[in-house]
Amino acid sequence: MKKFLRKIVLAFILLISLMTLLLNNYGGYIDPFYEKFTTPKQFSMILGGSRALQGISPKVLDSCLKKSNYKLPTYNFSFTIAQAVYGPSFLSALKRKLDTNATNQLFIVTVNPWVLSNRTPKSKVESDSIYKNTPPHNMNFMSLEPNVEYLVKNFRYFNFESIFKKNYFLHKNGLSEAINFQNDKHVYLERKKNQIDAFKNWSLDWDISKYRLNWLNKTIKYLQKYGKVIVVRMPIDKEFLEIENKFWNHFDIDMETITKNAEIDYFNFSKNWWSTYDGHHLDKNGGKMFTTKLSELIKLSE
Amino acid sequence: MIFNSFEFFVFLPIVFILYWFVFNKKLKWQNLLVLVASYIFYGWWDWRFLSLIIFSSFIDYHSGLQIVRAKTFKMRKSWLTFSMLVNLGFLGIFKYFNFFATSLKDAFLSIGYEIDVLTLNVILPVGISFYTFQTMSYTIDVYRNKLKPTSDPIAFFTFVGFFPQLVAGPIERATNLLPQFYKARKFNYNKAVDGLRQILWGIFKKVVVADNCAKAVNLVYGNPDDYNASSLWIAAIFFAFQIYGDFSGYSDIAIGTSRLFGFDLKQNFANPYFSRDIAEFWRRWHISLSTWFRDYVYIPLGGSKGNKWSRIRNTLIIFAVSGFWHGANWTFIFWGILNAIYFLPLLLMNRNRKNTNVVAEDSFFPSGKELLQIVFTFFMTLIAWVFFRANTITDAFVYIKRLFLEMTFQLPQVGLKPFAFIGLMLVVEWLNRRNKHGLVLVNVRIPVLRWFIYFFIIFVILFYAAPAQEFIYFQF
Repeated sequence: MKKFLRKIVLAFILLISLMTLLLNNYGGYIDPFYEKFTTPKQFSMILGGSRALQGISPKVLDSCLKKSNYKLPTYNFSFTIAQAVYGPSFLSALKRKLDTNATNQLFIVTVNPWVLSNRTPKSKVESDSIYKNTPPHNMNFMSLEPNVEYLVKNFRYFNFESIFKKNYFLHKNGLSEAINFQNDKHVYLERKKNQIDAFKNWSLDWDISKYRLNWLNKTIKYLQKYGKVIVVRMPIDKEFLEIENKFWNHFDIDMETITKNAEIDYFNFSKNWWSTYDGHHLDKNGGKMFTTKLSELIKLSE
Repeated sequence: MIFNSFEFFVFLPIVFILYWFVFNKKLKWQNLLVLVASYIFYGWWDWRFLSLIIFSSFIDYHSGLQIVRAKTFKMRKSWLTFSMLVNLGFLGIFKYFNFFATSLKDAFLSIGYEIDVLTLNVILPVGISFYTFQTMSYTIDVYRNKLKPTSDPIAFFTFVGFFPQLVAGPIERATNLLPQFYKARKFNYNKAVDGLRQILWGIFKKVVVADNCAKAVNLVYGNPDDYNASSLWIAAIFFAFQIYGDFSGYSDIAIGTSRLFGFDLKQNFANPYFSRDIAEFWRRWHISLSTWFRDYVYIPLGGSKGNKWSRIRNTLIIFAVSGFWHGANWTFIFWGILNAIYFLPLLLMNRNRKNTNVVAEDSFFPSGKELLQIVFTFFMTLIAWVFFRANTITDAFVYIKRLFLEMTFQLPQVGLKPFAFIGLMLVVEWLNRRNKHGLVLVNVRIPVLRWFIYFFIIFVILFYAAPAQEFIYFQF
């Protein structure tokens, strides 16, 4: 038995060491979020769904705002539409990741109708239960390297094959960059069509959520204690905007009311256009140009 | 709890340590630990259905004792009938009730009468077909005086609920497994190491081969009209390997896990896709179920004795029932009957036991003839699997029609990557075709090379495991 246990332990140690080595060197390729839970607590954050995750570059923001009084560098703590919803568990995760030792921070809170929707309108009580098994909602340790908790709880998202066949990279500053992307017109249109179909389905199945709006308010109020909060609606193609406006036609009015009450700015870029790879996710170039424009507005609002 | 989950990854070492280091002083305590662990394993899915297993175990434990105590033949038979009725009753209610109700409705509709039938809104308890058959075999064997009934309830309840094989087999016979609960188990290093190898190989077959095939299979079978004939062929081939990887993978993990605890379960798959005819295939595929039906249905019906017509009848019954065991759908019954049609010519020509040895037993490669036989047998099973996978018999016929009538050299619309994993699996299993499982490594004497192989497989699993899919056989 001793021999058996000795060998098992040895194999386990070897395996963990190799995994750690892989994650340290390729973590940003292997998993879309893993690296977000290996960095230390952060100041000045960008929050939201996949549009912000791929479209707002902390590097560009930092370089544009380096002469400002904000506590830099900024950090992109955005996820995807499947996880990033303003609610109690997202706020709780945010609190665990935020370094509260500064009050001159900058927070870019991105919004769109989908991250503020009720996805289970038929259920009596709206809650965060459907997100509980996804990061960041299921994470307690937000700054561990290697993050064993993430490995254990979210192993299903890991794609080690990406080491050879890279298709995204999560930078240490939290920005996700799509790489090796096929981008001819045919692929672009196909991708856009699929996304439009998804939006149409959501608009039929989902509902406007007062619960999420309330938690957006709470998130803003919490962040205001540590610095300036700006609410941003990111640019999308007009076909997407039409669906969003049809689904929630007073969305901008609602956002203006919330931001006015909180005495903060609402930057609505929904009618602007920068290049995307599917009609609503900015590509690398579009993301840089948009972030530059956003930085200019932030500077102006100082 | 499923084998390819984090929960099981934690559960197994805990039970292992408790089993060998804490509860090892007394056999009864060790059995009790396995029983509790088994119920936790099952209850993790839905604890409410534990009551079914407990009730079923109680009925058969009690029936076994009563059969032996019965003073008359009639009483013995009554207890057996009672046990059968309860077990088959559970199966009937949870698995087949709605099928019979809707089939009855359809039958009346076809002659112009519309009737209302009662359907039940019940969940199919995971593994019900497996543990029901296991516990029934005990009562039948006691009735036939092949086995003495146990008066040790813990041993019996553990035999029925034994977690490694509780939800998807192998369906163990009481004659093999139950006595193992009476004897003290000793840790055997070689057995445990080989068990781990078997687990590793089972995980590879499940998460790499089966789950990668499943992605393409689900796409194509989900909407076959959107795919060309070459894609349909590939999906049909992938399904043959998906179901093999899935089910034999589960069996490997189950048998390997049992060996860690000192138990020996029967081999459930013996390289069925290397079979040279359909009779050999059925001796190598889901052995525990085939032998169950052989011993408890086919032989009592007369088996292959009697005249030609009774042999044909018995064969059709056994295959149809075996198909029906897999699910309450006409597709499964048709799949069973189709296999009977494949099998009958061999039986009637007395050629069904022609290939009882291992293929290419004394050589490395099969002969040209053997290779052709293997390919032809695989082809026949592949066509039969279309009925198994399709939603309706009509869908299956349309699928098969398109396979043959639209056969052109078009590029497939699904990825071909799973072929690499299938190829790797077939090579490794070919090398181990004389052994009890695919990763015996008996000839690899250099420890470093063995470790290299283990880590190679682990890394293939890490790198190429597809998103987790449930084991197909859970639904049966």
